[in-house]
Amino acid sequence: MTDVNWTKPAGWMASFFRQFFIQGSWNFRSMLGSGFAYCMIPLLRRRGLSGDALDEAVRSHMGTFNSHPYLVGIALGAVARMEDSGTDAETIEKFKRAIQGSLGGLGDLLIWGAWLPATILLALVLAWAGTPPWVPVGVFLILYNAGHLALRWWAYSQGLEYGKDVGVRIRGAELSRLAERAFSGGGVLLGILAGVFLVSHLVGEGAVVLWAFAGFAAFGLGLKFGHRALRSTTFVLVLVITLIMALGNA
Amino acid sequence: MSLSLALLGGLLALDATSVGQFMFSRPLVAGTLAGWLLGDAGLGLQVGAILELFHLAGVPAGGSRVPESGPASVVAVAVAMAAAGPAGLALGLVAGLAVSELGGMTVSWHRHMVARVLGRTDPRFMTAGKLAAVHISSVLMDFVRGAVVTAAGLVVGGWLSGFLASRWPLPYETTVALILIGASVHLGALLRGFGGWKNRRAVFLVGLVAGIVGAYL
Repeated sequence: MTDVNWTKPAGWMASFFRQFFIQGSWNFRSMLGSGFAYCMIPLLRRRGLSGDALDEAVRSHMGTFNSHPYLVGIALGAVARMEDSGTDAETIEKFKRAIQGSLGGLGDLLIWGAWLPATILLALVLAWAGTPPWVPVGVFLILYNAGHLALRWWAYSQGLEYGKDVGVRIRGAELSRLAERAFSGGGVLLGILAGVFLVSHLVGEGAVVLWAFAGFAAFGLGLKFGHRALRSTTFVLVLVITLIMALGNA
Repeated sequence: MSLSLALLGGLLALDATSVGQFMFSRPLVAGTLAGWLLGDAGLGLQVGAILELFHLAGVPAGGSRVPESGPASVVAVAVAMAAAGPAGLALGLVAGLAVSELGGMTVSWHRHMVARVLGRTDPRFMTAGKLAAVHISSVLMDFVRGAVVTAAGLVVGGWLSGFLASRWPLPYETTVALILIGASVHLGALLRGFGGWKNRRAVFLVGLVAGIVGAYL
């Protein structure tokens, strides 16, 4: 289990900052693998590795790996600690394979699925309320990145602190409960935005019932089919605009 | 000005994946930045907010190809400004959506290319120095890719808006209503992503009533 006398490995800060570039060489061969190895370089160098020994250690981290970029610090910190305590490469590779799926799924749910849309919806509500341009943009960037940076720091710290036992720790963190709260907040903001659109832009039109009905139907279509409906309906909208343009004022 | 916009597009492309992911590349932010560069941050925000509605429900999970919003927002705002009025909104949106798709394709192309570069190097001969070189080159290439996508979009969008803008027949209110009908599909998909009607109807309806009351006031 966790050794309370353990101190952070040298180079941990440089490795933490490299996290912000971890997706720089994202590719369809190793996904985040090369970026992960790139983030490990400062830690390996500070362990006194150089020349062939450094190259060999870097190569051992280049295997296929994927994760949500904000939560990759959990794996990065844990591997840093495992390296520091002399864990063999095979055990580290097994750990990475075991943890990557949950980091990806959890990050997608919490960040891409909940936190990002909820904070953007807040900014959109502010934008439609007629605030000056810097207000919605500023509120979104500050609020979103407060969560983003806190999560990155928390993830890396947890990895460093708990090493290979970090999986137990993140299960107890109940990040999915945070996502649930963001979903509810996002739901309210989405309702506000829909209400504003309905009153300000759809009901205000000449053929009131028709526009409002079209709005509800389109919303229902998205609700029923989800992501499957997005590309095709966007294509239809582009087609309609192009047709109107083609048939419009000569 | 086109050079500044292309450079902005390159930086925004970096923010989307390669560097930081601070979300400057979201249409709402990118559009406002482009509008500010062009002298009308308000229009930038308006176009960015509209384009945002069409990107809101997209989840860049794993290695899936998603439309790229940063460079597209810059092009959308520039086209909207060139065409002006309701035609600008319609043309800007179309340009933004088209460049988003094009950008998404070039992101996939970039990822395949990095994979090929890494694949060409015999794993036994990969060194820390080579890895750092590949990594940094990939970041620089992503910047250039974003700048080129933006520049191409600006050239084609500017050319099209020159003769298409005068053909738009609909007034401002109808144009916005038409766009919002399209965006409503995305909002519906987002509610599904939040847990669906069954789980979120209470909070959604509370928000809807608040939005309606707020808009009337």
